[in-house]
Amino acid sequence: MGRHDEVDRSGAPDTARAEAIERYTDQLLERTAGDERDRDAVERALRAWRRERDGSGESESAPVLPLARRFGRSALVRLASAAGVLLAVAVAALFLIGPGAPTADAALAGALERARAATPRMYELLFERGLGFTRAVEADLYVSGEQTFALALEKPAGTAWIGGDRAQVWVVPANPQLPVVLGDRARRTQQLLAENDVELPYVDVVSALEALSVDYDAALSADGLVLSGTKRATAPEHKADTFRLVLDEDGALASLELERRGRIALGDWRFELQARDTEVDGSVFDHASHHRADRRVIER
Amino acid sequence: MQPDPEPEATADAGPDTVPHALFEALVREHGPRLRVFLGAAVRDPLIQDELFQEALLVAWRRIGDFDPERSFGHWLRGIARNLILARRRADGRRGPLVAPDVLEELGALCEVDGPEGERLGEELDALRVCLDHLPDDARSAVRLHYTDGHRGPELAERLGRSVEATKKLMQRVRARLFDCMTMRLEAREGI
Repeated sequence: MGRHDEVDRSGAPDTARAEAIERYTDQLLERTAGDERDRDAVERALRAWRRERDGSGESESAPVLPLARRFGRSALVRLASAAGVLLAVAVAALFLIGPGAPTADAALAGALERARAATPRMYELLFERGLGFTRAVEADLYVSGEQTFALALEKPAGTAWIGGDRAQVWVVPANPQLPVVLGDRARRTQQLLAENDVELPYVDVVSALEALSVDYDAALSADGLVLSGTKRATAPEHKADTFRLVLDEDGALASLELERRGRIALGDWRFELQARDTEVDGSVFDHASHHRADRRVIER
Repeated sequence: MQPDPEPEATADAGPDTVPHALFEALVREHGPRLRVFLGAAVRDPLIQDELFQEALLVAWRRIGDFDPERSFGHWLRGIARNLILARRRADGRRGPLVAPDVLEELGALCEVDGPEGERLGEELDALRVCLDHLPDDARSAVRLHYTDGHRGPELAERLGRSVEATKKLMQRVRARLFDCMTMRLEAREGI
């Protein structure tokens, strides 16, 4: 790893290196709760770039020429391959003029809007990862609007519950001797999930659909019920991340399959949601409904 | 509508569109890491944003200079580095910008031998695990600083330490987290 080699290299002033490590780690720590600000900043900068590009009277093809002259068409192909965006470029270009794009976007936006509505729904969740997808998490996922969720996980000792909303995240262990844990911020969700051996990229439908809206190019089937797509920017040497989403007749999410194929199979994962036509009681989102009143509750 | 794996297939859709889409894809892939680099080099978030946007505009104008055999992220950070140094020279003082030798070290820290696209996510995943393994007092300090937003004297008061002792504690914690993260990433890569 180049970064570590650099850290150990001789000759660099220790103070400069130490300050760089301090600053670099500080920036990473700022991002442990999420990278939304970076993604927003990237989009803002791209908007500024588009304005600059369009406002300068620059021909759309202007930047192509230097590359093509210097490296030829094959260089562009290599460039696309190296960036891992070959598929994304093709799809993006097609969608820029393709008649299906607005419909796909509208369908996804509609599903997102319905997911954001505070109508409780239940999904069966399956998350598999690793070589041969052998490490799996199966759970019932209850969602209500944005960021309100409850996960029911079957454990040898019974059912464990993990849930949360904008303000709080909570864990009710299956073992009744263990205390209920309350986290002060929703952003600690992933930490509490990890502590309970639950590894999930998403714990609510809105986050998953938002990721698809931002990072993926989507196509809509002729019947308007199936969306499929590929991640817009995928790392080099990675296969493109893909998803397949089925809408119900109301335009809400009926099922979702999201798959990531990494550089090595150990990093692969597949995330699936399947809606169940079950009436959801709002109390499922309250941790107190999952444990006895006298059970010890600790806050972290 | 199915994506076609060959870029030539986009010709019907307008070949002039491809470089724009490609540039956007590259920026989306490498932009977050450039933001980390800039954030580490420049404390002022407004200047960070300015430099980020400026770097993209320069990159676009000079895209013909980019060697597609090399890393786009590395090239982009090189542009940002030059912008920082130019601004530092123009300011004629240290100001809020990092010293050149630290800037060089930051550039080295951002380098990755393999694919850059998901590196930041891998680092953050490793860092989160390392956070869980911190002693209680250190983890508490990190939480107060990064989650709850307490800084300086306010953070020191909450930790029951002097401002200087708090600063030293945070420095030690960050160094420890960096070492832990690096070891985890190396172990993951089988080094």
